[in-house]
Amino acid sequence: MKVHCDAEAATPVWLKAAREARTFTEDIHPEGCLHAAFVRSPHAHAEIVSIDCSTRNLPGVVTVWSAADLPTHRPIPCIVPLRNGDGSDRADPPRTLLAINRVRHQGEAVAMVVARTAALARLAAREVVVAYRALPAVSDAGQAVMAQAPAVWDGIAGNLCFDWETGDEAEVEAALAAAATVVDIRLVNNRVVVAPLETRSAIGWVHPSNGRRVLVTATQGVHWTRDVIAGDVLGWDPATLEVVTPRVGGSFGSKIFVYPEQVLVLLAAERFSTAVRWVGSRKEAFLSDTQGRDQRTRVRLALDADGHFLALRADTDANLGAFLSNYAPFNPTTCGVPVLAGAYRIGCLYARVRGVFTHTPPVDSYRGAGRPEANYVLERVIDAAALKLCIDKAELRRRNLVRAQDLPYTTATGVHLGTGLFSDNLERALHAIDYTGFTERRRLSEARHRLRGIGLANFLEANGGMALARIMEPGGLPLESARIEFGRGGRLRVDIGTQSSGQGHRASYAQVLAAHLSWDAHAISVHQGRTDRLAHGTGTGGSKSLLSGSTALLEAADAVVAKARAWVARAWGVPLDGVVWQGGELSAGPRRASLQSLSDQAAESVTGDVPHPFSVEICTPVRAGTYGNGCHACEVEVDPRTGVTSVIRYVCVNDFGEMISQHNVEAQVRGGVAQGIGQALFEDCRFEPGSGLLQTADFGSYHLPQATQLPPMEVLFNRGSRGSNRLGIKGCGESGASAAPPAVINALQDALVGVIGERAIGIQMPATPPTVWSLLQSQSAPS
Amino acid sequence: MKATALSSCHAISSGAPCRVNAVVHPPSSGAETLLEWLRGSAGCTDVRQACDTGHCGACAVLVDGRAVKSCSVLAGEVEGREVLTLAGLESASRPAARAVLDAVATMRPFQCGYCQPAFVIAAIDLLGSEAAPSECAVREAFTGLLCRCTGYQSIVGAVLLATRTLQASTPGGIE
Repeated sequence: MKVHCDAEAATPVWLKAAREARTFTEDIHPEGCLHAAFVRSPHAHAEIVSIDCSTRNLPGVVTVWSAADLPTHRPIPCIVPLRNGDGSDRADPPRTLLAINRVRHQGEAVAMVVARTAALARLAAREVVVAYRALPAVSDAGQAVMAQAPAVWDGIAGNLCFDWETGDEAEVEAALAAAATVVDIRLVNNRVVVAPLETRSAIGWVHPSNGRRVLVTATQGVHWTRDVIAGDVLGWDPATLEVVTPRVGGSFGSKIFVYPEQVLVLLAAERFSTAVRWVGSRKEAFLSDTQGRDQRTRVRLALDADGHFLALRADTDANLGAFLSNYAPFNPTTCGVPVLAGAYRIGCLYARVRGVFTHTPPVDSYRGAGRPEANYVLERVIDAAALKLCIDKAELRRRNLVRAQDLPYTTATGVHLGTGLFSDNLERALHAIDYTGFTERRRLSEARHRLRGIGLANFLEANGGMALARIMEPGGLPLESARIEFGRGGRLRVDIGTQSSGQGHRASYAQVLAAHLSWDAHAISVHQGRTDRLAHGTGTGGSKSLLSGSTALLEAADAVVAKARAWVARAWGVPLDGVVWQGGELSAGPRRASLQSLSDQAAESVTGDVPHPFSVEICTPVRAGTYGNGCHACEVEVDPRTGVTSVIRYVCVNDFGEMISQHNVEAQVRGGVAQGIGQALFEDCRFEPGSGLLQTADFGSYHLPQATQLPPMEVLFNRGSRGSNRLGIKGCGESGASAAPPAVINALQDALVGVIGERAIGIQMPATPPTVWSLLQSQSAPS
Repeated sequence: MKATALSSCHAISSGAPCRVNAVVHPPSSGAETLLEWLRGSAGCTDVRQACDTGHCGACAVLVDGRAVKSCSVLAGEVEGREVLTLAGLESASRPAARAVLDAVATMRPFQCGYCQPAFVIAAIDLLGSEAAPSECAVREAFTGLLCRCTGYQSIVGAVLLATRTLQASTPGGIE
């Protein structure tokens, strides 16, 4: 990219390019900028004895900062309050920008080098000598709560951040005690490295003439990033910080969060009065991005003699990592637990979640943010129950799903389901995968010495950002903003507060607005990622963008029409209530004109910097969430000689209400399923016991699924159920990641059961070839 | 992507310039990788670096018509050769390139687009050596290339569309 300063506008060309969002942050090179690199801890837990920053004297090195060199600031906050079962508040250890006295996970930043070139910065970072005294580390949540475990934080007993519960424990215990059958299993929801292909990066800059600060960085919402960095961490007026998000190369939750590097490049830019740029490496991404999942659950399901679900109890240890990332306590508790009952009729439910600190990178939202974990627990215990009770797994689900005649239905976790095609999704999925023909397909596989299994998993989503808003403020609602600006030649510019990282939202917004205003969709440009264009925004997360974004956009469009009606009333000299809006036209009696022609006339009525009379900016609450739902079914084959599992068929039936772009919805489902299959079979995030070092810190040892390892996926839609919003849409983006892990592992359990019986229930994620092979070899061991 | 290194490259420097997207560049003087040289001196920011270890394939480019991972090749090894990145394909006259780019425009198979240059490059390499690859062959050709967004199915579908387009435009290509 050619970079120079446009003196006329006093805005550097590189910043203009960033605002236009046609390129990724890593491709932006401010002329004459400085480069940052980070000294990171090689230990998971160690005392910092000394830091020798004398490399700051090397030619080309501008500075080396340790924590002691930083200006006054506050820690990066965890914004989610949470009460323990006894009413006390959760622990809140500080997340500092650079380590102070101790390092608590491998890859934690200890010092920052700023140099004239990126290569020199990296070289100098390697030369910074940090003396450590290594300490014992713990990476597993189950071990971290034990009495003798190394403490991650002084003063936090048992490494417990919180001990949270919901539901009536006594009622559930009574139901478990009285039930005809109780299925009691333990499940591992493995830690996942999020691994968007674009690594994190950030550019800080301070405008030399007006002192305005600028941060260019990939996010899932610039406004929140601005408010946390400026307001919470640095004590700046948020209005003095412009955050720009250019193109984003995937995120899946991880780029929602504020990281130390973003704050530090801004501080360095302030100190040295020039742009400071940092582009993270893949190794840094493995060691310092937030990671996902990592929960261990004991689940008990009580059933009556006919297989009806009476009660469910889940006791979960959630690994939070060494620090609380911004949302960390939210995922395993108030975000995930509401869907723990799924769309099933369960008598009562109790869940207890312990949030545990370990010497590992922080864990936070990853595609689904607690809901995939809950769906996994539920759908796996159902298949375990089906096996133990010798009831067909489809029939067991059929007996317990919420039926059409049950609606509206409030689940055992308090989720109010007004619509949904739950039972019908199941039947359609069974038909699509030819459930009744499976026995014959299994026989054919056996003839080839393969073990074949079929698995089912229903999913329930809860989308809209409602749970997060409620936990932040009782009765709170999520907000979203939109701005519509009229340009020349019939062009409309939309700015909106959500943030795409590959979902294709912009075309959908244009389509929605075009339909509402009877406008040419090609004449509408949609923009995101700019705090200078829009005062507020809530960003993207929880499969809510099209819901919240369209809510704001349609209200903005309504405001446009209201303004246009008022303008017409004045211009035509007619009463306002006589001006009618219909089909893209405004009319009063026999006189009528299109909105577009009126907007052209209105544009001529103003001069200079006066905004177009029809332009609007609004911020509005989202009043109702959605509950996307569906059923996934898949078949796997296992080679018993090697333990290799192949997903050979995959179908899903989805109730997402109305769809704006079926293309984009299908893409979201397939991408989510791919990540779910990856978690189930391939992605093995391993920390070395004792040292806590990440043993799988590159793509050679941490295996993302490849093209040959994923099956063609048949994505079907069950229409006829609308979401509670003007468009009738429901969230879809995380559904695949919720349903695929239990569907695949249930199929694997089914494949193994013929060889090892009920021990197949013990299969855990990731079911890598060694894991499956070892379980098969245990067939002769006592159960 | 099968080709991870230039098997026919000679380590002996000839000092000859190379062409990158039809622009002649003097040979690289340092010991940098082709990836570093392309993103740096040659200004090809459409070539991506997504890992440090040669596993993601995001840095794929065409060297004399064959796909290579530019992180696994020294810049000096392309002296005298022709390098094409995604940006250079728009003006390329090769039917395979045109067919793949048209299929991508029609089917919009990518999401975030970060890996798009590499998959397009790998697809062109495949269609240059195999006129009518099966779905299985396309998936095989993508071995060593990572996409975190799509699950690959849409990309495979776009390559198969490009294959059909090429066959239809080739005399005798349709039985």
